[in-house]
This record gives sequence, structure tokens and C-alpha cells, in this order.
Amino acid sequence: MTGIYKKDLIQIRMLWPILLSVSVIVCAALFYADAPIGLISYFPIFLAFQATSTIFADKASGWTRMSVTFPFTRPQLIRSKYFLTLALGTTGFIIGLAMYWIYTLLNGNVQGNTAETFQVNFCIACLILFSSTAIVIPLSYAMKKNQEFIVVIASLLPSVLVLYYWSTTMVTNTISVDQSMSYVEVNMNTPLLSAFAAGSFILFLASMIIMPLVLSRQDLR
Amino acid sequence: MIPALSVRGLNKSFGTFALKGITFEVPQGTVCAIIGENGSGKSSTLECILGIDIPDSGNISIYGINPQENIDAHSLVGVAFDSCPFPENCTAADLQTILKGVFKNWNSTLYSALIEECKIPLHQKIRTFSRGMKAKLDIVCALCHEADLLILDEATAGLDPVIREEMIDQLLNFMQDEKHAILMTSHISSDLERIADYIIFIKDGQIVFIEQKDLLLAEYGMACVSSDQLEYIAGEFIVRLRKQAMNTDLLIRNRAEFSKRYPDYSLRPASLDEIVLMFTRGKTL
Repeated sequence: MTGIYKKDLIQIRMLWPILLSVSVIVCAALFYADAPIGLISYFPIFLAFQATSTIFADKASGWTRMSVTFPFTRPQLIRSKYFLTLALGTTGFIIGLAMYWIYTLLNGNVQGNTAETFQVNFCIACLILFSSTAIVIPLSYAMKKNQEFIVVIASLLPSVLVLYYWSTTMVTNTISVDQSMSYVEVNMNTPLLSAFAAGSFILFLASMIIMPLVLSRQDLR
Repeated sequence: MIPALSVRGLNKSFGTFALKGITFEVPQGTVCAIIGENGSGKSSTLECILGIDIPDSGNISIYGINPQENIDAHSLVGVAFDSCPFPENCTAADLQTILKGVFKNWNSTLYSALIEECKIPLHQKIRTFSRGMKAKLDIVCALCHEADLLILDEATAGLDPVIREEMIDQLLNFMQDEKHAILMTSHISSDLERIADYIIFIKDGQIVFIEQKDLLLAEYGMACVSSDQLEYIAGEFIVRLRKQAMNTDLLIRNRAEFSKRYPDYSLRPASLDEIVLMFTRGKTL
């Protein structure tokens, strides 16, 4: 199977100018906004979705049809995309952490960044990454060519809705220190967000186990 | 001897079109060509054999191994399609790295030798290759993991005669080993007449005949007769007939006997193209 992963990594590596350009822009924006913690959400999602882009590229080039003639079962081939997603997502998380660490080294500790903020960003990354890829990977195989846009939008929709719902459960309290001073305390409802993130991971695992078996019974058209 | 490929009772429905009861064998040491008009089921048959489409029923075995039960059967098969399936941003060198990790028996020495022989640039992106170069690369990759059976789906389509000749030479080289076999589809009758041992004619998803190529070309002939002359010809000789404006074309079997019985009737050997045309467009008596 190493050849299959090498092919995907070579394909992703070919896109390095685009990947680098987009990442530089996002990093610059988050650094400017003094919100580098967002990088631990951005990089895992951005890199994990490159695994999905290889599915679209494979279908367009005819590689998908060719790979079925290799000495690997179809479930093995489809599952390789899930494993690639996990690997790229983990790599993205490490890069995001590294970039955040570089920023704090250069600028000192960022105000407002607490363990809770870290947890929230991590959970948002997991929620979007796992729930979206759990849907986009099997849909990419099942849908026809030139429907990539629909597939990506359909896969992001559930996580967007979940995040919207979570945002409505956040509670803000205005606490008065004295007559002239007060501050706003935000309860981020992190247990709920953590539960959603865990649920999305379970959805990803279920998709990884079940969908390759379902898809392997269909014709590759 | 186990056949290189055995297909028994292959059925597959595609909605308005279906493969029905496809049964044939590709013996070791032979080249079998599937011919037929566009949409007759040639590529569909190959795709069912390769597992790209899932047959509704039927048995397929490659050197006695059912690929649905043991996927290692696929390591015995080299495949080339009519379009290059490799990522266009890769180079031939990248492909070597990729395919080495796919096939246990990948032969790097042979790959390098064939790449050089076919004058394929090693470090140039595949998207800059001409159609001929891509086709040659396809065949090279099919040959380099020590496959015993090659399955080629219109692999020489759209290529100039020089490139086709080079590719046929590679295939003939491959067939030096008597264990090897080739199953191919092609519309180019000159290629088939040069390399094929057996011809499988498929029409509307069904096999019409399986015949040795030499026998086919020796047995069948084309006669062009008038309506009056047609009445005198014994029905046993006429495989298919096709009425034209001024005369009738006949596909004749047992050419030698026909020539003896009707020495005044013009008869010439039928080419594969004419045989396909008559079986497709002609009618029975």
C-alpha cells in the first residue's frame, strides 16, 4: 500500500505553492488579529482536506479506475484516504501548534489565550475535520465527476449547523467589580463542544469502517 | 493447463444494455482479441474482469485464482487503458517510486531499460508527454511488475503507425514466454492480424463467435454478386449478406470450397474489418 500513499503525497506536494500561499495569508491575518490560537484549527482542517482533493484528482485522471486493478481490495483503497486524512490532520495540528509557539516566542504570551481557548479551538478543529471528512470521502466516491463543489458544501453543512447551535448555548454574564468597572464573562459551554467533537470522531470512525464496504459493492463509474 | 483467464457465464446489466452469458478462455501462450462495434460490450467485459464493474453473476479466474476471493490475482495482471491513468503532474521517475510500492515484483531494472528504449523522458511531467509517449508509458508500467497476463483496452487507439509498431513489438517480446497471455480490445485490424491468435466477436453484449484468427482469415471470403447470381449460391456458404444499391455483398464461409463450386464468382479474402462489418450490419439468409 505504500505506493498508494506515495502517490497521494506526491500529488499534494505538487500543490506546495498554493498551499504555502494560502497558509501564509491565513497566518498573517491571524497574527495581525492577535489570534494565533486559530492556527490549531486552520492547519488540521486545511491539510486534511487535501486528502479529499486527491480523490477528485484520482477520478479526473483515471487513477481510481487503474487502482482497482492493483492487488488491493477496494475497501483497502478507500480506507487509505481515511488514514491519509488522519495523518494529514495530525500533521496540521502539529504545524498549527508550532506556528502558535513561534508567535508566542516572538510576541510573548498572548492575552486571553487560556487552556479553555486552546480546548475550544482544538474541538472546533476536530468537529469540522472529522464530521466533514466522514461525509466528503464517501460522497466523493459515490458522486459523479464535476460535482466536487456540491460534495464539499454538503460535507461542511452539518459541522456549520452544529457550531451554530453550540454558539447559541454560550452564555455571557456581565459581572460588576465595582460601581464603575465591570467585565463580561463568557461561558463557552466547552463540555458540549467537546461532546460534539468526540461525536464527530466516532462518526469518522464509523464512516471509515462501514463506507468502504458499502462503496466497494458499487460500480466505479 | 490452467488458462490464463477464464470467464464463465458473465452477466452484467447497465440499464438499457447488458452483458449476457459471456464465456471464454484465454489459454496461456496466446493473444485473444475482442472485437466488435462501438458499444457492443468490449470494454464493459474487460471492466468486469478487472473488477471495475461488479458482475451480476458469473465466474472469473486468473491462472486459476478468483480475484474476488484472492486479490493477489491482480498482481498477475498488467493493465493498459486507452487513456493514460497516471497523475499528470508526476514524472516517470515518480511513477517508478509509486508502482514499486504497489507491486511486490516491480522490476526497476526492466523499467529503466524500457523507459530508455522507448525514449520516455524520466524527469519530465507526464502532462507534457505526447499521446504516443503516454501510451508507451502505460504499456511499460503494465510490463514491469512481471505480470503474466496483459489486459489492454484500446491501448493503441489514436496512435501513429510507427508508435503502434513499437508497442506491438513490445507485446510480441512479452509473448516470448509461453506462460504469458494477452487479452486485448482494438479497432485496428492490422494490429490484430499481426498479433492475435484468437478473435472473440461480441455484439449487443453477447459473444457471436470465438475463432482462431488464421482460420477466420483463411475460411472467410467476401463475394460481390448480383441478385440473379445470389439465387444460385447454396445457403450453406452464406454467413451474412448485405444488399447494396447495385449488388449484394456476401460473407462466405469455406472459401476454398466456394471457389471450386463457383469459379466464375469473384471472391476475395475477407479482412477482420469486413468480417466485423458483415456480422454487425449484414443479415442472415
